[in-house]
Amino acid sequence: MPRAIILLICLGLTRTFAPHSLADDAASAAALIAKAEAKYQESETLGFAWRNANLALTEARTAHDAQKYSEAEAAARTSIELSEAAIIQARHEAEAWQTRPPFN
Amino acid sequence: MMRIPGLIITLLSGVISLTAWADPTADRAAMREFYAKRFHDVPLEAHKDGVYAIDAAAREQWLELEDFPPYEIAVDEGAELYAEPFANGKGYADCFGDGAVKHEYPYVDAETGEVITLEVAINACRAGHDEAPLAYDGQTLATLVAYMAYESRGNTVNVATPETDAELAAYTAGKRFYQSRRGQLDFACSNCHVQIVGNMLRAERLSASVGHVTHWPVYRLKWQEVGGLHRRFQECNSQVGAEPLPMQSEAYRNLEYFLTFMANGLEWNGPATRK
Repeated sequence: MPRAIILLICLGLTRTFAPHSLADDAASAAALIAKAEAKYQESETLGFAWRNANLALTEARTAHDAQKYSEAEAAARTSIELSEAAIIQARHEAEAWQTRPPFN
Repeated sequence: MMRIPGLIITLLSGVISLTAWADPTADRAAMREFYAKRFHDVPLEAHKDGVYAIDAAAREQWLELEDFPPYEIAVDEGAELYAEPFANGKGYADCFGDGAVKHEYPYVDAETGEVITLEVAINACRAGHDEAPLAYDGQTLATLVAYMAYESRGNTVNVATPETDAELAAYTAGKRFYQSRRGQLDFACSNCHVQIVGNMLRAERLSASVGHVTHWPVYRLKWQEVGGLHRRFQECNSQVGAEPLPMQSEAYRNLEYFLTFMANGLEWNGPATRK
């Protein structure tokens, strides 16, 4: 096989499997944390914030500060999911509260 | 993902609902009818004792505790605090007379439309005399309110029927909070204190809301100190997985206003002792 083709294949494999840099991981985790903060803030504005969403967010920030970026991302994802559930709860309760006993 | 317009619509639907469904007198009658059927051998006035109106064994223990009530120290300390003059020589008596004013709260301020609780009024009094506000989650304020509640014993809960737009808005916001499921466990106040009232939840018997406000602040054995109604709101919210709100937040003041109207006619008998 021509040397040039071998070199091109090696270059492609290197780029495909090159490890993320620490800076990439930090940035990725930070972006997820920012998304988690926004979701939490939204649930808080609606008056339906969940404790565990806040705890997970705190955990994400702490992990990020300790450069444990995969842990930070996992915690941020948890926080996002919980806050999204809280927002769904808020949307449902906007009308549902009026249907409950003892007033109905 | 909710976009900003969706967020606005959700918030607005609450506002639109606020006055569309407000009939406080009918609500109170419905709540009382519910509890009368659920606890047919418990007269309405007995609910001032909260859970002790519906749990005979707990009541017996509570009555024994009342021989040497743990809130007594707080009442004595509160009396001293009440008598202590401000830097300008004035004092709480200039705002509240002899302190027996718990039964005058909460009410909706005609100018601001805000619910004014006794705690808020105390800090307003302090501000009026250039004193720093007391922390709503602090013992100093809880102790002061314990004294004022004690002095107010025997008075009757008498919140004016909400009629103005501001009163109806505060009442309905409080009712909405009471009826809304929240937290990861998806519980509304009414789930525990109406739908499964009288049953045990862990080691606690669930009390009826009609008598919820009359006996606060309380000395909770769990806290080993006196604490106010909003501290209990925070605990309840936390227990169902909701992020608790700050004490004396607008939502909690509205909830207190709603619950106090539900208790109209009952006797103020705070402070009290609770588990």
